[in-house]
Amino acid sequence: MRCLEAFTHLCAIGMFDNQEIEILTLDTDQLNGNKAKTENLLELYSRIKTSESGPKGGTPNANTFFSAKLNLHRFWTNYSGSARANYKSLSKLAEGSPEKQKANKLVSDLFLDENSVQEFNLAHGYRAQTHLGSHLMYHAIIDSARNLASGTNIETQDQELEVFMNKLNDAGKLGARVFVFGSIFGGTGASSIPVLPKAFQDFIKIRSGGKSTLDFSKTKFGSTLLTEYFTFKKPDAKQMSTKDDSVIADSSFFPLNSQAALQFYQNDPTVQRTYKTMYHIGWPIESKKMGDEKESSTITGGEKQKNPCHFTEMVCACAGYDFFTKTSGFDVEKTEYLYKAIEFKDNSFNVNFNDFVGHENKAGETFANRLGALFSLAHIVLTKNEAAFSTDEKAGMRAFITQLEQAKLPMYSSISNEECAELNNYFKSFAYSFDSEQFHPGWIYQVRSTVAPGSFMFDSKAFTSNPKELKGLDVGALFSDTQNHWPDGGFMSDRYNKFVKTLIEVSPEDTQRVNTTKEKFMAHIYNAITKSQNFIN
Amino acid sequence: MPEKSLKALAIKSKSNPPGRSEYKWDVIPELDNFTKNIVIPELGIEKDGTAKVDIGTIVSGMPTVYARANLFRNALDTVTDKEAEVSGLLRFYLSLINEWRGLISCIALNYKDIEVQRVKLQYSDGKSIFETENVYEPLGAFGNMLFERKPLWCDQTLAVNEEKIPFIDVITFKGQVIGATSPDSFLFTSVGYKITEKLPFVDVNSGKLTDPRLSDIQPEQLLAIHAFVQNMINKIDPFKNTFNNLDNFLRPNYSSINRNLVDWLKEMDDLAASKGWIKPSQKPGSTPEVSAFLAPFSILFNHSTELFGVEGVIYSEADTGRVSFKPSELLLPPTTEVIQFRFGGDAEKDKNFLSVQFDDDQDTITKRMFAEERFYRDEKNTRDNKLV
Amino acid sequence: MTYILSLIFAAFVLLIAAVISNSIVYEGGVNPKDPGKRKMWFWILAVLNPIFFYVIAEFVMKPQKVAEAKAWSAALPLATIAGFIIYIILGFVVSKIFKNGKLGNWF
Repeated sequence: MRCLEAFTHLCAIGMFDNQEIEILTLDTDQLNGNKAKTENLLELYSRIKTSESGPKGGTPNANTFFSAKLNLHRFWTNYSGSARANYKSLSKLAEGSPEKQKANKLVSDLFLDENSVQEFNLAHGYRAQTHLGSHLMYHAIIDSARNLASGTNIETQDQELEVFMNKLNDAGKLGARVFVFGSIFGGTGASSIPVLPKAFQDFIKIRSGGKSTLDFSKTKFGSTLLTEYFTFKKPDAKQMSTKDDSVIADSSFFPLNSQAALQFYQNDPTVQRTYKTMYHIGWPIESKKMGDEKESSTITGGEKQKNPCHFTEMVCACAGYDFFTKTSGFDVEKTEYLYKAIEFKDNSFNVNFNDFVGHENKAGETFANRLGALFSLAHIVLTKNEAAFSTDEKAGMRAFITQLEQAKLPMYSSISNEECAELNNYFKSFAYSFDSEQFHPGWIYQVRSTVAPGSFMFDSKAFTSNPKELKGLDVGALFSDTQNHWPDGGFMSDRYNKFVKTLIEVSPEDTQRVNTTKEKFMAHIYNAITKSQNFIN
Repeated sequence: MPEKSLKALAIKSKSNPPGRSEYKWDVIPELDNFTKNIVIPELGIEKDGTAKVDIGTIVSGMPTVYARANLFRNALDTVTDKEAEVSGLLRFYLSLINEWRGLISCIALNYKDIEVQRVKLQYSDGKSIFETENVYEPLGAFGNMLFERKPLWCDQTLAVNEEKIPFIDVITFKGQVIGATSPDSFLFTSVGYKITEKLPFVDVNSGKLTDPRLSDIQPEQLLAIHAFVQNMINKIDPFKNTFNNLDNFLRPNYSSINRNLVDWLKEMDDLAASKGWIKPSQKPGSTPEVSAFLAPFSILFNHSTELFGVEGVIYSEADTGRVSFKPSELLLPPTTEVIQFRFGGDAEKDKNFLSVQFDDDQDTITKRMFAEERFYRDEKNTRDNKLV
Repeated sequence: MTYILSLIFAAFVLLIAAVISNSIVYEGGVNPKDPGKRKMWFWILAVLNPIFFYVIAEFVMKPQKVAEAKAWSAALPLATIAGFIIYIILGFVVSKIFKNGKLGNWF
């Protein structure tokens, strides 16, 4: 889910101009903290783009923040109730004639440990049992198609899945690209990657009564193969003694599992035939330790599983960008496995803008411009306009509007306080926030901390957590490269002063395809910041 | 300006992809090598050198319900030098190969205790995935999970017009499920079996199958295993040819299995030499008469000696007038009981004895014979004497 | 002459007000005080303008000849008031011309 979080931020900075992107989240663990966080972020993004006068989720724009329209669909498996709590009950092993029971048990016991794998509680997900997980996730999707086709036992998640699948089916007629974010260690993502193309294809077949199917030459699939980059507290024997908890993911085995999984991906004919590109992303240096050591036991999932964001997830999001935008590399008979190399010095990676999206056609500069712009805006909103420190309605984005009103530019005054608060909240997720005295790093702060002490595009001062330093921060000097600092104000002036002058001078442009007041407002600010940053487009 | 040093943003491996293309996504060269050499933290080993890690932890990392079977294949493909210094997954693969060999040895030595049951991987109600009652039913669900590999798990020796349904042949040893067949690795062992008997192919500590070279094996047992394995090697090509009509990407390649079996033969020779026995390759034993397996695995594992008979004398070589036969086809099954009716010396002298004694119709004669048979059987049960 | 001087003086003080206003930087935050500061300085100078004008006109620039001095002194009060009014009118006009800029904060 954190790869999707990073992808959402990529959309927020404006990397997917003019695009409407359908997002399907899959999970088995409804209470997963990461899933809730990411889905909340997507819903917030959508609300930011929504205006009273326009469609829900807004419309695609260009050259502005939040330019892509994102539509969220959610599918989750239902393992609640004793009839669905574990593999045995779901498979109904104890039902049917003796011969049938015997044969089903025979096959199950051949491949799945009877006492642990077949009996652990599925409510918190597949717990790194990807061999079981792939089997269950595929059939969950098929089951959903069958329910919809027969009109019985339809649940909310079946309907959401159907909306996504209908769009995929329609798009697939002309040619669609589907990118799967997942790691190859862990539970749901690792289980789902190999089966999703076939699951989608069979869903469409079943739902259409055999009339429609997915053509893999037109609907192209890509995926991340993200390997481990964190460890968490090992489970102890006591925790593993209960049947419900008899299977707990032990991160010390993740490299081993990753190796087994990678070997599978290289050799499996179904994967070879259904995926065009797989992006392997890993972390070759010391993994960060995650989780509160004070926790008495390993957290298996649910609300408490809230892992911070990592640089590799951001690279995964950029893998998605590469897959969606590349113009070649699809005429392959077998899957291509790709990787990235980054400057490495003194046991750290030094990250450059070009590392994310390449440097052809100034892609790296565009990325730098946009990421820098959103980061600057985040600091203006949170630091300069005090949204991180104050709950005052006038803080944050409202202060921008007030500034423009004082300059006799009242066209954005109709934006409500609630809408301003939504934008403030987005920036808090993106950068940082304070809860009384407690500092909470947001996405970009967390990502940067995983790269440190290596360089990360921006000056280290841009990532301070000290309130005093924040209040003295020069929001126009965030880049490491001084040529992208905002113009100096001159005698008795500063960069922010110059910026506001620019803000007053510029306005939204037709090419940005913005329609609502909010969209125009974001475009206006985008133009002011990007002009100040001196990237030559 | 000094040249930048690039590092692959990939999982740590002793064969890391080169840091050669800055800013670009590049194809991983020598992917097999990269994966094989992924750095695994020390997992600990048992005193006998086998891996401490449970197979379950590895199996769970492979995202297919057929992970267990796949791992056997991976082990055979990956471990090329059994004596090499290995760690992590490779050490685990070594122990898997031992188990695989243990299963082969079990079949070779105790084929009379082996039963094979074919389980068809389709929903028990015979319906398709569209209509079946319970889509999670393992028989059908496991069949679904084969995806593109379904044809490989079907019997390709069937006629074109016969429906090809994927199957697994489950192998039981004295009633306990110990493994099954697989078109990838020929065989794989089951999850939860445990053999408590002291047998040369059983690890007494774990109850798992193991290479009998690691146990107290007798020379005749070694001969039997050697002969069985040699037979398997001879039959690999005919077995492989049954898949010739499959698409290229599905057709199996058994070169690694062949290599492993050939290496095993040599290791058996070395063991014999070390114990002062005659090497099995110099004086091969008889191939065990395994008959339990069904097509196409019968090609690999089943064996029946061809004999030649004329005028009541049995020969092992063909010659003029001798009729070839397979004892397994002629011999009665071991559960057969033979009953003889004793009519005394008069019956021996007169070949028409029966028709004279019993001038009734055949039906009556038969009934009387069976009545007498029942009498003798009852007497047998009382006196505990068997009539032969 | 007095009136012409008053006009020139008003314009000059307005220029000072503009320079001061431009030097006051834009502030961010919940309650930015910069527009208020610019307005304040405008009005401070609006008040100082006639005071400075009267003092300078009466004690520095008064003609030496008695008759001219008498006429000068007679016109001074009205010229002072006119200067005050001209300053404000000019300030209003300028703030409307540059309404989106810093000078727009004057009104």
